[in-house]
Amino acid sequence: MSGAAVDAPTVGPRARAVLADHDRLEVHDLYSPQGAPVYEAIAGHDTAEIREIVARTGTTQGPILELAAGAGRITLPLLTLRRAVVATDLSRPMLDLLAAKLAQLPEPVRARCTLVEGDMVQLRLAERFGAVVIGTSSVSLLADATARASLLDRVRAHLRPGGRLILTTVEPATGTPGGEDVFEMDVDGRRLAVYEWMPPGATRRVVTVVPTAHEGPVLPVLTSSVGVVPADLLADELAAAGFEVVDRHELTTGRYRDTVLVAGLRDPR
Amino acid sequence: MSAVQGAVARRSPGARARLMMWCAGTVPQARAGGDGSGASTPTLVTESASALLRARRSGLVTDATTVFAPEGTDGAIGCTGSLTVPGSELRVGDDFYLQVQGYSISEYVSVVGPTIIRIADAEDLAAFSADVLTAVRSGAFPEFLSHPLVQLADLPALGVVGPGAGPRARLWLSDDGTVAVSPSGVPIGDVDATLDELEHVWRARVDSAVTGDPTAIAGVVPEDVRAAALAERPEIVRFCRALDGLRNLRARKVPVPRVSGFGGTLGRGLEGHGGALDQPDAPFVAWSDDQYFLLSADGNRVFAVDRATAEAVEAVIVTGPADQARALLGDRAVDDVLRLLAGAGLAGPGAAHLAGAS
Repeated sequence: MSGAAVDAPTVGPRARAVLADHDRLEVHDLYSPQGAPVYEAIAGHDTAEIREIVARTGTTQGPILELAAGAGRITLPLLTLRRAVVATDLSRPMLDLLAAKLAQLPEPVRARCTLVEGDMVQLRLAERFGAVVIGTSSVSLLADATARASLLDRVRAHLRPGGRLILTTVEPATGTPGGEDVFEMDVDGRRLAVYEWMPPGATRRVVTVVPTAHEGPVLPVLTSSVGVVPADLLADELAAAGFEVVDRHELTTGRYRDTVLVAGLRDPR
Repeated sequence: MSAVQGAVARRSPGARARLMMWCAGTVPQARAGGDGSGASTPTLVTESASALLRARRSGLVTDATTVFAPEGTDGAIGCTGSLTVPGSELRVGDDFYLQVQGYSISEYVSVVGPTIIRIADAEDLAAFSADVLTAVRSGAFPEFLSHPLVQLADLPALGVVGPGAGPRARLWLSDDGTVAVSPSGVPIGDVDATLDELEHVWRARVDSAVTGDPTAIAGVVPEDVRAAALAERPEIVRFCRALDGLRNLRARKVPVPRVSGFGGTLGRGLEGHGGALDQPDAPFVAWSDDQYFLLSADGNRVFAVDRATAEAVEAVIVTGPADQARALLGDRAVDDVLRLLAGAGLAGPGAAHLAGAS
């Protein structure tokens, strides 16, 4: 794929200018095996929601189910609550990264964590949980409201009476214009530039990652396009699915607002 | 804040610093009281206004006691929130927020302001001990622990027993009227005891322990677990002292300092001498890039020096008795170092072997 052939709407203008300087690109999804370590590094760049998620999960009792656990950015902090954690993810490479991290921890901590590979909208476990956690705005990875409704149905099936769903979502902060942000980070000895682009009025956020310095004929590119699910919309969908939002906390960092929602079942089965 | 509380706060300048020292269970050497307690007046913290009233009536709490109590309590510095529960926040007055975190989660969350890190259970203690070992082997200290806004709580439980550790400096008053030196501690008496009586009980327990204060975290970590952890990791005290120095350097924007003895030494030829990790009261040598520093044992005083001086001081500290250092450096260099340390007040009582010049 050539830089000139990159579809204009799929990357922001600054990322596009960088890609246009290269004749050949090797493009992978950020959630692919090639992208997993980079995704983990990017997600780990922001720790603001971790404190809020753990604090709210800490007010619940019983085992914890974490959906879209990825490489464990929230899983490992949840394990400090000294409760059993079942961590699920669709991505085997991500779970492998998490397993490697768990292997570095003391046995009592490792023993509390169970990894399950699977799709969170089709999850069927025998156990019910005191808390279900969906962090890193992972709810926005789902295609549409129908998929989110399926997710909430699975959450409902796995939540104990009195249990809580704790989830986060990111949207542009009120009053901020759409635009493109870029920051650099080091991953495995490589300096990478991360472009985050959300045009005004858009419903998806585009992330493009490229090395800041590259020699060779083919430029490696990682990209993802993630839907934005506003907190108000998510709250409405929770209500429609039989949940009641009992806590809402907003964290604004720069261009985006991260909202933590805590919900319980209105009518526990 | 009420007028009374405001008046109390104004009579207690440095209330925030006092609270941080109370949490830590240590005070800088310069602040140590003449009676060795480490405080000019004792500090008492309680979440129970009713228990405080009983303590005032019994005389345990006097006008000379600095008291932190729930907002609205007369004669106390008002607080909202909790110091006891990891994950909580304590607000003092209108503008000081103190975060309280458990040790294990601290590596996963960023520092957002003044923070107390508690050893909240045996698993926290194990994680802390593992970090000490990592620092000894590699020189890498946990980034969160050396942050200038962070203080590790209950240092006496980790072997750092000095000014600020005992009941004459710090008291925790529970709702049932029992008194400990920490919210994580076990009672050493109750509101009807005098300070002398509390000090006597506490001192007896400390003297009977293998090391450190066996009461300070005994409410959350079994004493046999604590004692075993300290026995397995005798470098803990030196590690805790080094943290104070690292915070001082980081506050001065010194990037990622190394500390002599942890992961190696600055100078060569010092292998096999233990890196002074068994000398908790010795000054420190630290360095970062092309900057070199001497730090007092409590980390509160910093002197910038050149590399040659840093290496010479390090050799004297690490090799112990002055004659071994002389064999390594020569008489003149050692005498220069000893004069330097004495002149800077870095050869204190706990490091007497550094005070003698030939």
